[in-house]
Amino acid sequence: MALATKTRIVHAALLALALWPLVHLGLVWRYDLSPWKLAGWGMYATPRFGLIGMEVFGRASGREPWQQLTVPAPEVRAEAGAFLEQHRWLRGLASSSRLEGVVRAQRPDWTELRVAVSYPVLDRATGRVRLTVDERLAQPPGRISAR
Amino acid sequence: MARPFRSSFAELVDGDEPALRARRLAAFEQGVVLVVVAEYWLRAIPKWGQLAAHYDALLAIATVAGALILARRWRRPALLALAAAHVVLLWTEFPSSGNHAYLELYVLLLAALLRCDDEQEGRLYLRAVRWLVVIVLFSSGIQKLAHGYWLHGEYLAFSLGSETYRALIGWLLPADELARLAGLRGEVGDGPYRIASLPLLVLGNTTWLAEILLAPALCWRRTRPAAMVLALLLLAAIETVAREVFFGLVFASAILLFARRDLQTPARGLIALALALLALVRAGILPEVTFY
Repeated sequence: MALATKTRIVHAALLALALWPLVHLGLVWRYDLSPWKLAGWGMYATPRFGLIGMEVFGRASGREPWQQLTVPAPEVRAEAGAFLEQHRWLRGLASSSRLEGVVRAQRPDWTELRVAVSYPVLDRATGRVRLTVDERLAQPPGRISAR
Repeated sequence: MARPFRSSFAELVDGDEPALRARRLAAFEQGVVLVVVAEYWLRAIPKWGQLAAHYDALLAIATVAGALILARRWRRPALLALAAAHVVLLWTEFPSSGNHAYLELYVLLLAALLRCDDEQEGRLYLRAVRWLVVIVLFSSGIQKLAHGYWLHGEYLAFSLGSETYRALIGWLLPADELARLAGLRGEVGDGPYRIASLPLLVLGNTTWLAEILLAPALCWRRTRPAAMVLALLLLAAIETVAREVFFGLVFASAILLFARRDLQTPARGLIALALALLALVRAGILPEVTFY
C-alpha cells in the first residue's frame, strides 16, 4: 500500500476519533447513554451507580388494569438480566424486543406490555440522588416504544 | 508552494529524533502488546474453568500472536490476529468493555498498518499516537465540563463515599463535611452531594481545565516537555484512585512518545514489571489489590 493511501487512512481515522466524542455527547443527551463507555472518553464525568431495577406489566386489552409479571419464567429472567446489563450502559438505546418476545411466550394472553426500568441519577439541581424511570410500552403487534 | 492546511495541521504534533524513532515505536508497540496479552490472562485466571469457549480461543490467539510480535516474527499477521481477537472481545462484551479496549485496538491496527523502521511510515505512526493522546485528553476534559458534575464538586463529593478517594483528597475538606459525605450511601434521596471546600472545588475544576489545556500544550513544541510531565502527573493522580491499570499503562506509554528521548525502552521494562506484579496478585502470591 502506498504511503499516501496509508496517510489518508490514518488521517481519516484521526478525524473520526476527534469527532466521535461530540456524537457521543449528543447520544448521551438524547438517549441518556453512559458517558463512561463507547470510547467517548467520558470516564469519571458522571457518578456511576450500580442499583438498577425493572418491572414488567401486561394486560389483555387497553380496558383492563395492568398486571405485574411477578413470577418470571427462567427464560424471561435470563433475558431480563441481559437487557438490564445493556440498559445500564445504553439506556434509551438498549433494545427490549428480545425481552418482549420471551414475556409474550410466557403470557400469550397479554397483548400490551409495559417495561419499567428504574435507575438512580444524581440530580445536579438539588445535589441529591433521585430515581429515574425509563418506561416502554409495547402495543400490538409488538413494537416497544419509549414513553 | 504553500502546503495544504490539513497536512500542516496534522503535522502540529510532529517533531522527534528520527534516529531514535524506530526503536521507540517498536518498544511502545511491544509495551502495548504486553498489556493486551497480560490483560487476557489476568481476566482469565480468577475464572479459570468457567470461561466461555470463545474466550479460551481468544486467549490462545492473543498468547500466540503476542509471542510472535515480541519475538519480531510475522509482525503484521500477528498484529492483525491480535486486533481481530480484540474486535471479537469488544463485540461479545458490547457495550460494557472499558475504553482502554478501544485504545488498544486503535494502536494494534495502527501498528499493523505502519512499519516502525520506515522513516516516513514511522513519522506517521508517531503522529497518529500523539494525536490520539491529544484527542483523549481534550475529550475527557470536554465531557467533564459538558456533564457539569465537576463544576460545583458533585462528582468528587459523590466519590468521597469510596475509601480510595477519601485517602487521597479527604484531607482537603473540614472533618465534619468529610464525615457527612462519607456517611452517604448513594441511595435514592441521599444528598446533597455538594462541597463548600474551596481547595476541593479548585481541584475539581483544575482537573477538567488541565485536560483541555494540556491538549494544545502538547501540540506546541515550546510547551510540550512541561505538558508531557503534567499529563503524566495528572494520569498518575487519576490512576491512584481509579486503578485502571491497563488504560494507565497504555496511555502513559503513549504520552511518553511526546519526549524527544527514548523513554519507551525503559517504560517497556517497567510495564513488564508492573504486569508481572499484577500476575502475582492474581495468583494469590502477593496481597489482593483492586485493579481494572
